Amino acid sequence: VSRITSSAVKVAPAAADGLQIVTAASNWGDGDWVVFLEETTAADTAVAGLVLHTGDDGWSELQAEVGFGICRAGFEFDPTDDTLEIGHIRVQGPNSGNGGPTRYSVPHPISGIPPGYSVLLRMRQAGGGGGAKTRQAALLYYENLDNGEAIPYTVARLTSIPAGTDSLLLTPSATPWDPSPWVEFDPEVGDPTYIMGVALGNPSADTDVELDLGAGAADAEVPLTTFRVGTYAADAGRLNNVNLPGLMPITPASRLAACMRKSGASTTPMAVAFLAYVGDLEGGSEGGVIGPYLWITIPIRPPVV
Amino acid sequence: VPAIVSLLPDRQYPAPAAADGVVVQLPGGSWSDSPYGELIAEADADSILTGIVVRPPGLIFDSWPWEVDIAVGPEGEEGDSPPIATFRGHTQEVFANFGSDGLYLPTIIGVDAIPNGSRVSACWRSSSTSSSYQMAISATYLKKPLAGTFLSTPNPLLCYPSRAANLSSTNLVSDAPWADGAPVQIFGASGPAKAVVAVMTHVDFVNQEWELDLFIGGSETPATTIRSARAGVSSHPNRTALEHPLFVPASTSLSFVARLSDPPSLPLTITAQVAVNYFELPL
Repeated sequence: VSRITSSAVKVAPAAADGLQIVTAASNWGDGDWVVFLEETTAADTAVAGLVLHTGDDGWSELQAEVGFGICRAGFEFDPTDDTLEIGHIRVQGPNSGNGGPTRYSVPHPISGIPPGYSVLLRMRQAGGGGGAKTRQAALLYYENLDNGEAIPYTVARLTSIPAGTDSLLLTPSATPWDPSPWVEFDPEVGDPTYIMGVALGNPSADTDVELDLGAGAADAEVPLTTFRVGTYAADAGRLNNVNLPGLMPITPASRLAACMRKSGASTTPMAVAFLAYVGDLEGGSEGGVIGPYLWITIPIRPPVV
Repeated sequence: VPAIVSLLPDRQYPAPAAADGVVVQLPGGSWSDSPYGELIAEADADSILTGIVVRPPGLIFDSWPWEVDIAVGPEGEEGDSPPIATFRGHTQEVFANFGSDGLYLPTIIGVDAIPNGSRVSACWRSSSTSSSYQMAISATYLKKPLAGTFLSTPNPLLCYPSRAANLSSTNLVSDAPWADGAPVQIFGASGPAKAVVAVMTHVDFVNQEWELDLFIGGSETPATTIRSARAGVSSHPNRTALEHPLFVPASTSLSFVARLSDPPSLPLTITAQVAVNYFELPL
C-alpha cells in the first residue's frame, strides 16, 4: 500500500478569504450549514480537512466539532433538511490571541461524494462559546484521489469519542511523569472503531506530555498506543490535533480509557477527545475497504419538492 | 473508486519514555550543530521512526529556520554516518507571556533505519548565531515486526534547502491580495524521483490566510495546494505535513507560488519562506 500520490489537494474557496461559519449559541448546538463546494464534478470527491481561522471572534479553551455535509446540488436552499452530515472533525484550542497553526487534516479522507453534490460545513462547540461565534474556514479536498487511501462515508463515519459533548478531563499528577488515573472513554466499544488521532487541550506551559490510549477493565488497563506532544507556553493558540501513523483498530467490546503523564508539577487538567472512524472497514454486511477493491453504492437522496 | 485502507494495530512508543525531551543547546555560529542528546540508549527491537516533538524551553525572541537530525550510532560517533532523518522547521517570535504549542512533526513515511541494539540521538542547528537557545527533543517510533501495514523505508528523511536559508518569494500583497507571487524553484530538473512529505512555510505577517501552490515540471496546473492561516503572534514550526506525499518524477523540477489574503493595512510587501522535507524514491 502506498500513500504517495499525484492527486492535488484542492481548496474551497480558492485564492480567497475563508467563508464564515457561525456556531449556535447553545451548548453543542449545530450552527447553520454553509456551502463551501458547489456541485462537485469529479467521479469521487473526498474531504481532506479544513483550515479554521478565528474570524470575527477569538476563542479560549475552545472545544468544537466541524461537521462535513453533502446535499444534492440545487437543494442547498433548505440545507438543514436536505444535508447529510458525513462526518466531523473534533478540534480544540486554548487562546487564539496567541496565534498558532490552523490546518486540521483528515489523513484518511472522507470519500464517496459523487458528482452533482455540494459540500457544506457547520460548527458546534462547548458552552456555545458565550453565544454564537463567527469563525472563518476553508475546505481541503481531493478529486479522484489516486492511491485509494480514503474511506467512503457509506462504510465508516469520522467521529470523535466523545462526540457532541465536552471532552473528558485527565488530571496529571503533581509529580513529573507519574501517570494520571485512567479515565474511561467508552465502557464497551460497539461498532467497529478505528482510532485516527486525538484532539487535546493542555494549558500547562512548557511541558512534554505523553498520552496513553488503553483498553481493559478498570484498574487493569493496558496501553494500546502512546501519543507524545509538547507545549511552549500557556494559553497558546494552536488547536491540538495529533494523528497516529495509521488507523488503529479497536477490538470490539473493549473498554477504552486513557491516562497521561507529563513534565513539570502543574495539575491543570488536560481535555481529551479521540478522533475515530466508526464502521466496518474490514468486511461485514456493508462490505469493507480492506483489500483490493470496494464497489461503493451511494444513496441518492430524493429531491425535495 | 477503488478504496484500500491500511490498518496499524501496532503500539507507538515515545523516546525518551516518561521523561523530559532531551535538551540540546546551540553552540553559536549559524547552522553549527549542537551536541547530540540521547533519545534511546539501546533499541530493544528493529524500529521505525514515526515523528519527533520539539519544544524550546523558555522564551525565544528570534525568528529563524532550524533543522533537527536523528542519528544512529554510539556516543561520540553519531555524526560519522548520515542522519536517518533531518526535520526542518521555523520558529517565530515569542514574547513574554506569549507563545505557542510545541508541535508533533510526523515523518508520514516511516524511517525503517533503527536496528535492534542501536543507540538513537538527536542534535539541532539553526540560522541563529546565538549560543543560548535550547531545544527539547523527543521522538515516536514503532517496533518491528509490525502486525499491521505502514509505509516505511530505509531511506533517510531529507530536507531542502539544508543548512541554508529558506527559499523566499518576496513582494507579495502590495495592493493585490490573493495575487500570485513570482514562482520560485525548489528542486531543479535533475536527480531521482521524490516523495514530498512536508512543507515548511514562514509567512512574515500576522492575521493572514495564505496558499502555496506546488508545481511539477513546467505544468501550469498546481500539483497540490497548501492552505493555512496565521493568527496573532505565533512560534510554531510552521510545518505542514502532506499525509499523502506528493510524487515528483525523476529529473523534474518542483517550484512554488505563494499568495496571501488582505492584511489589515495596505500596501505592504510580505515575504513567504519555504523549505521541504522529502524522501528519495524508490523507497
